[in-house]
Amino acid sequence: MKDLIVLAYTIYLPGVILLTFYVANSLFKNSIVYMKDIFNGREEIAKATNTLFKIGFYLMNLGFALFILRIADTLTNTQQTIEALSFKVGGFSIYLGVMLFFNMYLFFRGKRVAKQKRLVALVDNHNPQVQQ
Amino acid sequence: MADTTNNILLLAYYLFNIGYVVIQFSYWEKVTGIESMIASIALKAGLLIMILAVTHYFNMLLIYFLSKKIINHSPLKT
Repeated sequence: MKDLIVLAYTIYLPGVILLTFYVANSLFKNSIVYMKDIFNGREEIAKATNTLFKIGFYLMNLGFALFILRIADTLTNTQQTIEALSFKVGGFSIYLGVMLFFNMYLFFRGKRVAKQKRLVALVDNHNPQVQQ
Repeated sequence: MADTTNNILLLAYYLFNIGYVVIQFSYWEKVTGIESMIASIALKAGLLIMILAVTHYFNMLLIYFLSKKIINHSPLKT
């Protein structure tokens, strides 16, 4: 039945978009702390980089969500609709989780590299004012 | 110099994506109903947005490496 597929799409699209917005908001609200640490407390560049990462995250995830939207098999009853819908939403959630952990890995790595650089600069210059 | 590079990047971005969209139009398959319309629009838009995302990350990497080069050549200031 074609109406069930349209119904599944109308449930899937807002759900996926809301999920992406929620995850991106909570990730990039907290990542600004790491950004400030990475860029030595330079507020402007930290904010700019955070926004750029945010846009990339949105583009990547919304693009993938739209890309996998098509439900290929025919839906004949409510049970099949729920199953197909939960398969799609669940798969997308797992993908979103992987992307979240990947971004977190990037932030932690950036923090580690920045710390190492600060230590090297400290040793090289014998100047305690470098470290903030 | 910075403005020129920025403009060239922007132009390449526009050309690439508009070209892609126009090519997609010419290969559009038959649309039979509302559900296949939603599906095919979503598929095409999703692919385009993913390409945008990849270009965006690529540009961020480019800016990062360029800025690293410039910082390494300029005298260190504390």
